[in-house]
Amino acid sequence: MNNRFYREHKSVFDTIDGFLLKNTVLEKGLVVAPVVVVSSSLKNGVALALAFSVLTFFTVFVTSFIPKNIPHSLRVIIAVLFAGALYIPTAMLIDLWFPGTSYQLGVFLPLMITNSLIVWRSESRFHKETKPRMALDLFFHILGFWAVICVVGAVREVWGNGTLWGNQLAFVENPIMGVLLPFSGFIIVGFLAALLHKYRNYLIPMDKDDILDLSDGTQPFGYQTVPAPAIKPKKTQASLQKGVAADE
Amino acid sequence: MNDFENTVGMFLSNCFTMSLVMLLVENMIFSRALGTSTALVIIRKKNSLLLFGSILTVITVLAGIVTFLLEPVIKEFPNAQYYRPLIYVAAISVVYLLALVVCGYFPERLKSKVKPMIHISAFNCVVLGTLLLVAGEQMTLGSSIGFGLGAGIGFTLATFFISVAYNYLYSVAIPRAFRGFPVLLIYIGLLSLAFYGLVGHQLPY
Repeated sequence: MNNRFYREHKSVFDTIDGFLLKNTVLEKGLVVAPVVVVSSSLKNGVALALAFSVLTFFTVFVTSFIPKNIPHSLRVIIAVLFAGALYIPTAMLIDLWFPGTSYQLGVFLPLMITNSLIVWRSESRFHKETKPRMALDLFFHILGFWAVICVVGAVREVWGNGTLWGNQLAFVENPIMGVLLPFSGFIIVGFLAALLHKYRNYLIPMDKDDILDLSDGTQPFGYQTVPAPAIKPKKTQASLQKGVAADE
Repeated sequence: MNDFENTVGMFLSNCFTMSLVMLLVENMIFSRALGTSTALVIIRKKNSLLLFGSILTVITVLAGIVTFLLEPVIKEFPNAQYYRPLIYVAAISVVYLLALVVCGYFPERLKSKVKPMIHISAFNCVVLGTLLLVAGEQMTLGSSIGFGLGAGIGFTLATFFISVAYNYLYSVAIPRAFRGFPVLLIYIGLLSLAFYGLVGHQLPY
């Protein structure tokens, strides 16, 4: 997809932006923990993504029917309790389809109950949309999560174990076990996020007037700032004096 | 009296040891990435870091105590692993409501600051993670409290380390594609590696 095609079909891409340009993990920085820690193999990634899909989609969709006159605190409690109840069949399903995987995923499988899309984003984004639009938006957000966790899982499994879905790969002779540790997860996700920024900067060329002012210390980062704005240099005491001297 | 002193000494010793372990060896963010999303949200509000950390620490300590009390009952049930999260989410909800009620008695100025943070600090991976991790170990009351204390303080410390980089995320020295969120993740990864080495681990080959 080139930038001209993107500009011509921007409204369509805005509808499905949860998949790529507003990706849950790479752009919003949400649900990072399971991707960083336990997506050390493709199978783990798929199992986690499946749990995430079921819990997030049904919880956000069903809780959208809760009347808005109920206080926000109670709506959140109902949402997490619903997700907790939904976790029971979901965990059974994971155990049925991926025997032994839930043990490897440890606490990260139940932690999907309080994932950021359910707790934070459902009220701030999804519940403000119409039901069909919300379902489509949720679908693409979930698809974006699938893409990231599967890529990270596959890369780490090949690089760190020399296998893919448990099958030995002949071309990997010296796997690096360190890739399976959390710090590598952070770095790999960081590089993927940079790749996404690069592509986004290509699709949406940076406005040269978009200068980030650091003086008030409240600038946004990460989530809202792609394309990355340039830094407006702070005027230090030395540069001010130099300016005065030059004027004189 | 001697028995009482021994018991108190053992309690404090367990509490302190587990706090240190959670602070340095098993730091919530650098070792388990738990609460990374929450930390990323909080560092955008730099002034509130200490207040948020305090609220979160109180909630994780309460979570540790709740787990200590509930776990002996839960583990007697068959297939407890499936409905344990639901019970703990319900427990967090009760703690959350209690926190909101207590917050109601605060002076207006403090209440307006604390109330929005209670929501973020109650329902996140750090608190539920603390409950589930404590449930996975057979801990004493002192260890459970220490676990919660170390988890909360460790999270706050890690968030502080991350926030140090905040003003440099858009430095012109950073390649454009990496500015902002990508370089922050790489920075957290390097800190995580540093903590991994600091406690004496060696990289596997």
